[in-house]
Amino acid sequence: VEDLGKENDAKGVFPLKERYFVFYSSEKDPEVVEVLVKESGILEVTVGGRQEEFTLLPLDSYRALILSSSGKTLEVLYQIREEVLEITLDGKTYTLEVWDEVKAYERTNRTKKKQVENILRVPMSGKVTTIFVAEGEEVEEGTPLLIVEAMKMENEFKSPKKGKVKKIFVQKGDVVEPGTPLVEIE
Amino acid sequence: MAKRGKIQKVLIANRGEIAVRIIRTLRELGIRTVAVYSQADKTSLHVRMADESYEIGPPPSRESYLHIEKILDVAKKARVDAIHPGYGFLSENPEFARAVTDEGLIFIGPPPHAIEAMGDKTVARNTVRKRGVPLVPGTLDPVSSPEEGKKIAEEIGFPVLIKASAGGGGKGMRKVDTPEEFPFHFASAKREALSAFGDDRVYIEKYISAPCHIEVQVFGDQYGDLIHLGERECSIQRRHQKIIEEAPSPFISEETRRKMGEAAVEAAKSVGYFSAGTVEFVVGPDENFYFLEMNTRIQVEHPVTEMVTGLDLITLQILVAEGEKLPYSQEEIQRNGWAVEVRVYAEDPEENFRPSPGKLIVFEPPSGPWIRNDIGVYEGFEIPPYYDPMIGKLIAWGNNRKIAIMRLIRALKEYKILGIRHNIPFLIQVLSHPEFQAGNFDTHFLEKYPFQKKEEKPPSLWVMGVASALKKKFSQENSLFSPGDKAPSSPWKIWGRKMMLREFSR
Repeated sequence: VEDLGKENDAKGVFPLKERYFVFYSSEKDPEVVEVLVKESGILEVTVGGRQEEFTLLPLDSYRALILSSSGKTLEVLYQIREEVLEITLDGKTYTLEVWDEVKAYERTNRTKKKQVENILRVPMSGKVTTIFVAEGEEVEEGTPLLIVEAMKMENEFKSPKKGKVKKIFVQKGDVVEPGTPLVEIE
Repeated sequence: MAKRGKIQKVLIANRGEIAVRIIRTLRELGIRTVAVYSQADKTSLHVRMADESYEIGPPPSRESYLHIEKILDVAKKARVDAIHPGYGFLSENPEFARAVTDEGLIFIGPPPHAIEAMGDKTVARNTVRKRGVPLVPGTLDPVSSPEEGKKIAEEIGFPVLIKASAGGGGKGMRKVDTPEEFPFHFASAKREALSAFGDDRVYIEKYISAPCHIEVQVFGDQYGDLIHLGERECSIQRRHQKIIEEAPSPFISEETRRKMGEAAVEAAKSVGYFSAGTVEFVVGPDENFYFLEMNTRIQVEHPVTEMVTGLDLITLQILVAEGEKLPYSQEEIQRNGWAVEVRVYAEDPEENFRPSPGKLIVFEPPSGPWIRNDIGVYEGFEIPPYYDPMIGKLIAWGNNRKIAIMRLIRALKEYKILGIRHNIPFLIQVLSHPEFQAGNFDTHFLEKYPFQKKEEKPPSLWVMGVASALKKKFSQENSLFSPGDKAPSSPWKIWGRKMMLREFSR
């Protein structure tokens, strides 16, 4: 496993251009970014025909300084959450997935599968305080399904589509973690 | 520091930024501090800062920060002289204030009877009305059933507001536009009121369109002397929750300012008030003002008043609680410049302001000239999901409104947070809005100009390029970015290994 990383090691050997696919939205195609490592660790990135050169200096595990050849200075905050790269640049936070060619293809297929998924999941931790519907009930798009209380606020979850409530995964009073399935609509 | 006054040790019955802010003043005065905390708050900043701290129960507020007996037990055990309730939680609970006094301790706040009179919003309306303070039309008593409420709402005329009798901060408040919606909102308001205040009584008020929400800070001593410290403009609200506050208000004339100040003092006097209090008014475009309610506690937004008056309101609260006379007369209160405050929330504006608890991996609040941070968290702290999503307040002072706003925007742009989602992009958007900067707004500002989400267009070249460069860094950890030195626990390396293993297992 250790050696795998060295396969692409470009340091001092030969310049190697790599292509990455940046997914920034679940609906849109990824953007293609080419990264070339030049001498003394300067990175040349090309996106849509535009090019920038910079060095990336890690400050600690979550902060890095970007010093561009044109003089532009940026600080980036970054974090990995599972397969997702979260970066903050210029005060804006982006959730991105960056993949190489092979994985980008898999990722695209996965997105297509996801669109037919009918399970509503809770995005934050909280407590289920009210459930408005029962299994077997017909709902419209936008019908309130349940309320999850987090940070003293009631967060109403509505049906993402018209259909029948196939399964309710939680009960009133349940404490839920991000990603917990709440309701399945078919 | 030399011992002073009657109060030498104080229990802070609160958490978060306000507990921290109170501890700071107590330290300045040489008073020892006692924190209480729930099981979810063991490593909270207020605990870290206090001289002593005691656990008072499980995470839910009702079993910890709202649990009177547990807090009093700690007060006795730690032998404190006084209790400061902060805002929220038990701060406006007259039984708590009374229980504290009955234990022979000093309650740093108003007298219990004043909390009671003002805390019951319906009693409050009746009381101040007798002093000639103008009122918004609505029920003078709590409403018990949805049927009764609906009937009353129809008499007053829709739209109406359902408000928690025990309320504040927009919790348990609902705007109702039609009779059909009434029962649903009524039940929802009662539920939220019960959860937030432990009291589900609600009342009904006419909904005033295009109003400004302006409040007056009052201060009184135990000898009947009462002054006001000027107003705060709090019209920028989202779902009745204040987001941005400033002092003074950009709308009102000196004449209205004087009248509102006098009315606020009258309202406070009507219940024999002392300590810090806030009289809230709705103000129409014609500068007519109506009493909304009185908050019988220190307010979240008190710093803007401190910034323009140069006073420390917590110090004043302590002096008054010790039985000192107010050290200033009305004439001595001077206002200087402008202060604007924003509330930083762990909420994702991109996702309809969904709460975003979690670990603050990076947390660097800004500083610089005339910037004040009142914060209850720190880098590495895991924000628990049980309490209010506000993580801190950022306040800027300027010698005029424009300078204060520009300074605040500058500071917000310097704020660095990673690990949770927050409302800073939203705050910058509001502060940068031409209508806000021109001072043309009312409480509907955010309905008129809601948060503009990031466009779904590709992020900039920089974002894409840096993200890809980071990806490259992870995949070639030790070769490119760490010349020679070893970074054994880099999350990139761990992630990289995980990803590679995953690839193998396919």
